[in-house]
Amino acid sequence: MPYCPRCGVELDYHIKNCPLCQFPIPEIPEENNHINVEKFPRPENKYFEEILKVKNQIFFTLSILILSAVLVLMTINSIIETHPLAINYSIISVIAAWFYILILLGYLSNLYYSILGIGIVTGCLTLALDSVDGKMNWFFTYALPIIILVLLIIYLFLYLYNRSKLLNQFIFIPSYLFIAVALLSVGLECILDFQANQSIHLSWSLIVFIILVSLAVLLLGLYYKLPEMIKEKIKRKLHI
Amino acid sequence: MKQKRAWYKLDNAGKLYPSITSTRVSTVFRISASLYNPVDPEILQKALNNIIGRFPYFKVNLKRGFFWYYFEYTEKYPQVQKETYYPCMFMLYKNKNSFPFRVLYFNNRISVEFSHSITDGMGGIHFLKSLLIEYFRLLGIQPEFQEKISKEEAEDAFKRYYVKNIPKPAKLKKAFHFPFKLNAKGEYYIITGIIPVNMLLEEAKKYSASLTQFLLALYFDTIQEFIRLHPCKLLPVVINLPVNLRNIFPSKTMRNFFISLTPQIDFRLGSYSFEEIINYIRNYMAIALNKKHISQHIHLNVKREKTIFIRLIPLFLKNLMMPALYNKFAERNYTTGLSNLGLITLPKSIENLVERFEVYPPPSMGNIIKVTSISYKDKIYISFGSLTKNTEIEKIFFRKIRKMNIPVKIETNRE
Repeated sequence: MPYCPRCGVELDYHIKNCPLCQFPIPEIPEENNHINVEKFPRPENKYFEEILKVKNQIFFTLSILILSAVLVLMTINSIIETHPLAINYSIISVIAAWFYILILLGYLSNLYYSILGIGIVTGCLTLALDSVDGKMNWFFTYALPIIILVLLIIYLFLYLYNRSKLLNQFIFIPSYLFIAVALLSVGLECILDFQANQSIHLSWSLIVFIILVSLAVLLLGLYYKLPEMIKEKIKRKLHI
Repeated sequence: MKQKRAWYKLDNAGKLYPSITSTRVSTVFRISASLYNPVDPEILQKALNNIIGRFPYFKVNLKRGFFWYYFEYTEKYPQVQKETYYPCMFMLYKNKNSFPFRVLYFNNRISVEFSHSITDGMGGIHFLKSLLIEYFRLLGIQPEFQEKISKEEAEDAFKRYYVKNIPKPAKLKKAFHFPFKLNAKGEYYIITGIIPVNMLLEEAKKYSASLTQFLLALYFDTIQEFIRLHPCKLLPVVINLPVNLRNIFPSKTMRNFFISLTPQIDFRLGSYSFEEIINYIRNYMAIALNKKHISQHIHLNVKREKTIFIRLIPLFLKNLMMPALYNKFAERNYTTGLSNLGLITLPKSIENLVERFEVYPPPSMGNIIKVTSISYKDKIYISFGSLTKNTEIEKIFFRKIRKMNIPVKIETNRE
């Protein structure tokens, strides 16, 4: 019988490494009277098989629903020609919903790709909605910069979250959320102000920014603790 | 026709499990028996068909009510399956009219995997024993075994022994957790140590401890050594020790009837010698393992279920809230779990046809390593179920046994 020289435990034949310490175990020929019976199958991963099956069922059902909705809308459009714009808006939105479902069901395995996918679908949706009437009014000036801004902020949040996810989440998640919302407010006001007045004068977003960033700094400061000197001073002055 | 519509409520412990089940937290445990010869799937299916009527409370599908899940009797028969996945994998039994258990075979091994919503380890063992006896009967071996079916088998024993108006047990606080990375979804690793039970018992006797107390002490000592070797943020180490209540509160129920004892040692207080750990566990068991103390736990569990406010919450909201509450009030407060199912016996005529029994704990994200043990004939089978690739705990545990000069054989499903 093979043994692990490090752990001193007996092992099965044909095992490559000790299951406890991963020490390599040399191949030993089986004894004559030994019958080797596999204890476990080479296991398949049930998660991917079963979940993919369920996901496909959901996606297939929703796709049929969406296809039916598009067909119904196109039929209505061909019969009643009073509100073609409204029906075009609906068709575009329903098709975009199909892409959103595709992404939200997790067919793109990577979270970063999924977020990028949602951004691209939103971009295409807003572009199509803006171009329905034949004129481009707000896509390049408002929609595209806002989508890019939101994507960048989400990526920044995820980057920071991944760096600190093993630390105290009650501190880091709110802090990073505060910072994300603060940056979003400033970015939004910049875009809106620039498009309206061709210049940037921050007002409300500055208030939001200062409050939220102060809260984030306070939380992070409390987590990383105050410098010893300041702590000592507070103790001295406020002791009871 | 009347039987077709028969239904019953989930028992007090079982009510929780369908709401917290996920692909990772399957709440499915496995009990398996290895024979000396390959299993014949056709005979196994016949044996299952023959015995399932004797367990009508298992021949059910889980259904959704507006406020709670319930089990409804089904005319269908469960089918045996060839084992292909990792052990204790999730069951999609909530939506698919499938049984809350499965019977698997692979080479010489017959396994039954039960959702904890329907029964506990004792119920599972009873079912597997009946299946084995019937399997061998179909092979022409008549076991000298007569069993009376009791009406008590289907009862919710928690309700029978619920005592009103007694104080609740003390609350637990957040416990130390192993700082290991989770493995990929759908994977579950088992490491089983096979040890001569007499040698382990002799060692336990030296400390005047029972086998469970000795294993518990060994596990605490293992965690202590892990903490010493890998310094990390310390909290009290709490081991969840499920206790079969059928011996304390007489009942023949085949449904869940256990509570969790929670021995705990705070290694922030300093290093504990093995004697100190054993001493603590013996004293803890003397205080905790008695009717009065356990009544408090039963009272707490049943009272929560009986609270009108909880009963009136719609099921979909319960499903949303339960995982977080379960984490807050249960798994967050345990470091790990250890469950000893004791010694299994079979009728003499088939005893020599079964090589071994094994039990695997249900995988859990809150307690990524759990231990179960079961003894059969002259061996004890200690299985670590783990949701991490790290094997440090298993390594320290089994090396400790080897240092006592007790032989250990290790088997695993890891590649």
